[in-house]
Amino acid sequence: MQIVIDGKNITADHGLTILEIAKKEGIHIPTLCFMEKLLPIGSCRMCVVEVEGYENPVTACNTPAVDGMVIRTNTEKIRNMRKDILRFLLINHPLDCPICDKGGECLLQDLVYEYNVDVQPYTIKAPLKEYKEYSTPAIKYHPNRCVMCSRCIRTCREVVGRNVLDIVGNGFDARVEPVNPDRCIACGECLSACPVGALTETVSPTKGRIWQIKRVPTVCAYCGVGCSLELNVLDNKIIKVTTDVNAGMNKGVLCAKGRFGYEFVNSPERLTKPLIRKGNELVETTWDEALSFVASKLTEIKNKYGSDSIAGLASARCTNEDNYLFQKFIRAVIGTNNVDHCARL
Amino acid sequence: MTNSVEDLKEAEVIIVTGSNTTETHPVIGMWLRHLSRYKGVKLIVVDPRKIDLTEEAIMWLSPKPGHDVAWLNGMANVIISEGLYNKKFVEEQTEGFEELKKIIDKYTPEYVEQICGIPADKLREVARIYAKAKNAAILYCMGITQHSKGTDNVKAISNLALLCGHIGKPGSGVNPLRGQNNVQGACDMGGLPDVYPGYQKVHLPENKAKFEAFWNVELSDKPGLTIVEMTNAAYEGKLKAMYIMGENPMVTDPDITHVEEALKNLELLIVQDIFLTETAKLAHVVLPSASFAEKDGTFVNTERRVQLVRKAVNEPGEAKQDWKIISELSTKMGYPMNYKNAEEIFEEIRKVTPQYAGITYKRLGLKGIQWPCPDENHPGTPILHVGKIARGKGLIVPVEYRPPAESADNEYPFVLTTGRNYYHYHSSTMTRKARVLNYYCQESMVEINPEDANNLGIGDGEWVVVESRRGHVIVKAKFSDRVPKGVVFKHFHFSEAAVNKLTNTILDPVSKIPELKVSAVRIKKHVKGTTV
Amino acid sequence: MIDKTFAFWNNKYDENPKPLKYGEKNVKAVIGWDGIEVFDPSIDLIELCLEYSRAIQNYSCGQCIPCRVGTRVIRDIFEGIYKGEGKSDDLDNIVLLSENISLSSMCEIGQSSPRVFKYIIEQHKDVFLDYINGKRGTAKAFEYKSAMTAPCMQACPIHLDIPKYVENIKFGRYEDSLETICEKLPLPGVVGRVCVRPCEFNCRRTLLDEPIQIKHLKRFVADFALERDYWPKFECKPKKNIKVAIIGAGPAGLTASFFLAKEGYDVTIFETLSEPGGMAAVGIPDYRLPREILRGEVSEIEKLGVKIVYNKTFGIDFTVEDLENDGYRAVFVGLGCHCHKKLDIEGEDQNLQGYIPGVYFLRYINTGQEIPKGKKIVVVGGGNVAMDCVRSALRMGFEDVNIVYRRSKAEMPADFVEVMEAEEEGVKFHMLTAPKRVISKDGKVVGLECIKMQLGEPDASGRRSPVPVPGSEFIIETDVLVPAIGQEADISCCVTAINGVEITKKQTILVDENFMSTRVGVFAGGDCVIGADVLIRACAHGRLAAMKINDYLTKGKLEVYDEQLLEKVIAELKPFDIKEKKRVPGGLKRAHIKHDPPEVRKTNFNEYTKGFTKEEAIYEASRCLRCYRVVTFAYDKQ
Repeated sequence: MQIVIDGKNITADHGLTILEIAKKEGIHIPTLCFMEKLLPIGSCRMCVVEVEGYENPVTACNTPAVDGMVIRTNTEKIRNMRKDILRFLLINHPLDCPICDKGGECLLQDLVYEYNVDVQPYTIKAPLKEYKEYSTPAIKYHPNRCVMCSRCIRTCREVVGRNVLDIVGNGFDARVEPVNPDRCIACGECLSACPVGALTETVSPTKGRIWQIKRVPTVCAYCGVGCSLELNVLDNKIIKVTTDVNAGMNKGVLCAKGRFGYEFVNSPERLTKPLIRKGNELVETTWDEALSFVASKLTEIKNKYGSDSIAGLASARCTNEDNYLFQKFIRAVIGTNNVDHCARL
Repeated sequence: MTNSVEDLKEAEVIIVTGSNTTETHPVIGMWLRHLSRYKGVKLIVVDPRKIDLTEEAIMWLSPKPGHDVAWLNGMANVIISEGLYNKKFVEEQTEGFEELKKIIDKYTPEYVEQICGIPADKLREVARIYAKAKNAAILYCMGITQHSKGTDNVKAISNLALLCGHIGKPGSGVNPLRGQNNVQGACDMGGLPDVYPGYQKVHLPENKAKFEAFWNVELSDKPGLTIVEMTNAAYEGKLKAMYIMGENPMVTDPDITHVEEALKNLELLIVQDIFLTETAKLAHVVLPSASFAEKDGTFVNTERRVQLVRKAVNEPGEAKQDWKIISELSTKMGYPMNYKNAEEIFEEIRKVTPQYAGITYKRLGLKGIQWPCPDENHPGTPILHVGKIARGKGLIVPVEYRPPAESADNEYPFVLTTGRNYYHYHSSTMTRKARVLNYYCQESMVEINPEDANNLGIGDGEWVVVESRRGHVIVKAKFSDRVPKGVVFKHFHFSEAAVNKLTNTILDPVSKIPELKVSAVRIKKHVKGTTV
Repeated sequence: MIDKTFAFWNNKYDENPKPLKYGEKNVKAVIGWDGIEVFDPSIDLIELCLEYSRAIQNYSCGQCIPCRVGTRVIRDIFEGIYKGEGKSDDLDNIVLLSENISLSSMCEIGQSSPRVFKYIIEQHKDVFLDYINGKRGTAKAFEYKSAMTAPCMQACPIHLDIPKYVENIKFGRYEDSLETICEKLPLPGVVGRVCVRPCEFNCRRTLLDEPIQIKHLKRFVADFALERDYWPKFECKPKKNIKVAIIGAGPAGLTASFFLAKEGYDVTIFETLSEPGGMAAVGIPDYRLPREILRGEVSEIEKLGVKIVYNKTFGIDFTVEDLENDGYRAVFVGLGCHCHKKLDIEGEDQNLQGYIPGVYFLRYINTGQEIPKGKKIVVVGGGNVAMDCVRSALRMGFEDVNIVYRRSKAEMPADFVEVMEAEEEGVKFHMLTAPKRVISKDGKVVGLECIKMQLGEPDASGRRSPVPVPGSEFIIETDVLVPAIGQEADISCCVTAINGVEITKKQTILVDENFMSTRVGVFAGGDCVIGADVLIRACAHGRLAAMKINDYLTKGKLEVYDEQLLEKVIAELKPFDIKEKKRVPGGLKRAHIKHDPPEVRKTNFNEYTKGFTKEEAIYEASRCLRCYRVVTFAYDKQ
């Protein structure tokens, strides 16, 4: 199939959308409601492009290219149209970027900047929309920041399969609402799908701007699915969990444990010093004392009762490296195969 | 898993059994929901409980807990008697078909219905759907394995896959969902009493020789004790010392009253953990270790994907990464371990573990690699047994149905089955410290069918005593249509109402897995202030 | 003030537009997707625009940004002008906005609705400027009525919200889709299989490539529900303890019973056959509509408390009087067209062996009764019943199956898909051939004398009438002859069973706009009031009649609904225009429907058309252009 995008002759496969082809060719088309893991719906209209011979532009995200199409992605007409859409979005949009969690990584901010939207000719005589309870206390919905891209709704439906959210109301009064709040599982997929600051998390008391934090890609420590995630670290503290759709096998999807279950790391109940039993009590001690005690006691028992009187439990929670060394220690140093872990539990 | 999670999209049929996937493996659960709604996957759930996934399933079969071989053999019976099995595959790639045929005759769907309560015509339908599918996968979890006949259950599942040739191709396979984040890795690394890293048997002289040469030390060729055997040995005084790293048997193991006595009996109990767990409280020495966020290393997920764990924050106080603690202890005991970092350990691992030979930290990147990966040019193995069953021929092992160790009787008229809750994890040491998770689930309740509860005069949310031959717990009753009549369910997370005071320690003779999914219990209303 | 009447509709200007009626009332002005028509120059144009812009906002679904926000900006500008707060640049802004919104919106609400503003403002700028400058004039206040429709919705006799349920499929919300359908139609699986789909012939996607396969999408959601043993939970109002009787368990009666049961009535259906469905059960072969689908959907209706009494024949076993004596407060008559039209040719004799009318032929097969045997069969007719007869005949083992039709294939009223598939299966078509004489021997049919026809001038229906070619007679030998040239209702029973009922010349029950017959409390709908028609229309009648019965029993008075009035007036505005300019590219083929091959399917009565897979359904649904159209009427205040 032969098509032309912005004057460039392109050979493409059948069935691909204009956006997919443009992406492959490195041609930038702005999007807002589009997410790779969701069915494209073309509702934000940011990705409009012109097709030669037709009066109306089409949305690149959900229009399959057809042989012979001549497409223009960045004409004056298209740029104005996009600019108008951004102006529409900015009507009644609070200019609270300085205190918005998404400041600095907000798609709306980026687009308004890219399109240099400096004049707002439009007004709507409507009061600001009221805050309402969201389906989980872990997340807050800011209706006036919302661009109604429905990424949250669609993620909840298509990826999570819970159907918690829907658009309620018509026209400008439409808003996202949890229509089935009981079905919410606090996975925060809606939060992660939101391109702007309409959904923000309420869990972390500490916030950090994208340029202040470090995002460390790692693997979730809960179940065996092994989801990839990014720990957002500010001053040696985890303040948030995000995901990278290209990492691991979970396509950026997490559950409540993966997304909100990190607080134990910062818990004041964490053990910070070795403990040793003195009488009925466990008291703090130094590493040297603790390890010396363990070493001598293990040697004593090994010598007295034999290697098989000692056993070790490795851990399904620890790394391969930890477990490898642990079983090596039990086998090579203690001299027994008494090593197991809770694989069966 | 023989196959990958992503690859399930190629399946025409997926049977999920003994796995409450949306709660225990939520992201795979979401994927299954997606496949069933947006792709051509037919989802079939076989589970005593009406788990959430039944919402997206085309069929739900509800066997009585603990009778799984019956219905699995029943399916084999239908598949063989109706000639639906993959004759070419059975002939070329398997052995043992004739033996299976001999025993399978009596497992007619009608006979099976008497045993486990699945209607005969429904079982027939499912058998036909599974057998006729181009690709069909079976997913299972602890609901299949945590039985005294758990190994038999797994064999019966594998028989079905072999009969229909649903193995070694996309969208098929026998897919156990591994429970914990690195349970696969702990097994791969030889955290088992009978094998060295890479499942190399300890009793085989060549393996012993290999590792003796590599580690430069004399090794034992006697397989060691399993976890429950350790407890028993400690209880009997045969075991004197235990070194427990990152485990909490005081919540997760069956019959924890027994576990507590056993651990108290030890001369030396070393617990290495990030929290002062119920188990750590009994220790002589507690060593503070690092959480996943504070370490470098690798985890292996349920699809054998080795993935990089990266250090994000520093350990609190004097806590140390587990491998460092072990190295220091080992050095103190006269066997120096001088690893600079986790990667150095991994380099050693891949030298002794054939499945890992081709994996390096650099290659892992963001996507990880699925073992086996024999050399550095190998892309990894998303699907096992492609083209040819790994052991040469797929072994069909006929298994006979045997009832679970305990059944409901007049004295203990309910069957208790256990599992996990979406918001908590295992002994809940970590999850209870996350406010969001705790908000959703703060107390443990026993799920009971409203009809049963009415018969017992128990109201929703009332305190009840659940009692087995081994102990009792006092919890609130929660009315739920998810459990069928005669069955109650409780998750095992919370130590204050530890369900494992009730569970049966009887083990599967092969895998040594305890029968956590079937215990006979009785239930009565709890009157405050009275003793039980 | 505007100085004269005018219409600018469908890009055509007309100074004397054809007046429109909204029920009894004269429409004073209409503004909508395609333009504006003003029949009374005293109309307040600004108020009209404001009303219309409010309607657009109210119907805007909230998904796409230009329509959601942009039309609100327009509305607020109109509101400002109306309140006397207008500014001089307001008008330019509206023109610019409406142009931009109609170019960039996602669906037709945004694309078509604001287009008219540009024309109005450009042509009548003075009226607006007067308003802005404080000269409001003496324009009269009218009452307004706004509505949203779509070409497919308008064409559908029961006006299903097709864009909505199609969109739900696109989103994977199959349950919601089914619920949307069931709001008006309790037989989605049946209609999803056998509907003649007027919607698809009015689908705007046709302008770009091919129409959406709406019928198959409906079947898809019904099948989805069946596969998962899911059915929408219908809420029934509290029991009213009022008994309503329904005569005939066909599509009309079943639909009526569904809506009456939901209103809380005790509904009993009396059916002459031994199973439910009426013509849908005995007039449609199983390969098109498997009986279990019909039975399944009927059983869902029964779950609402509807009782069906079988083997009770109206007029023989009971009368309306009997029902009234039994405490039934209202009766709905939904009799089907189980009688056939005769060929009216020489030698035709019902008693001849081998002579069997199409409706009986199908009914006997469906009920397992014996049909005349033979190797060769000739079916006369060109409608769907004729197609059902020939294809059933193949499946019953006839080796030589023929169809005789007096016009050409192009004029056949049967669904072209049916015609094509019958041909694939090996049916022989004798076109431009009219039957002239039945030939029999020893009381048995042996042949049919036919005459060749040629097409003459178009008749009143627009079809070219066939005229015989003199001397072209020939004989087709046959064992069985099946006339299938039309059906009629047998309402003779009604004459005796319903005291005071009036029957029309066409042998149908006379009903008013509220489906009530001349006998108070007796309502009727479906084939017995309009003659043989499509299944979906019977359902539509059933639904409306049920609502009327509810009014009759609760309010004691009947009135024509807005939806009935709108149906008529919107039809005048022609929501579907095949000549409309193509504004976006097409080129997306419809999802392929899989069939069993002809040689397999013609050997049995199994359903041979496969339903969509989920991916196919989502693809097909995604092709929908969502052609909602908003319109506002102005008429005199009461």
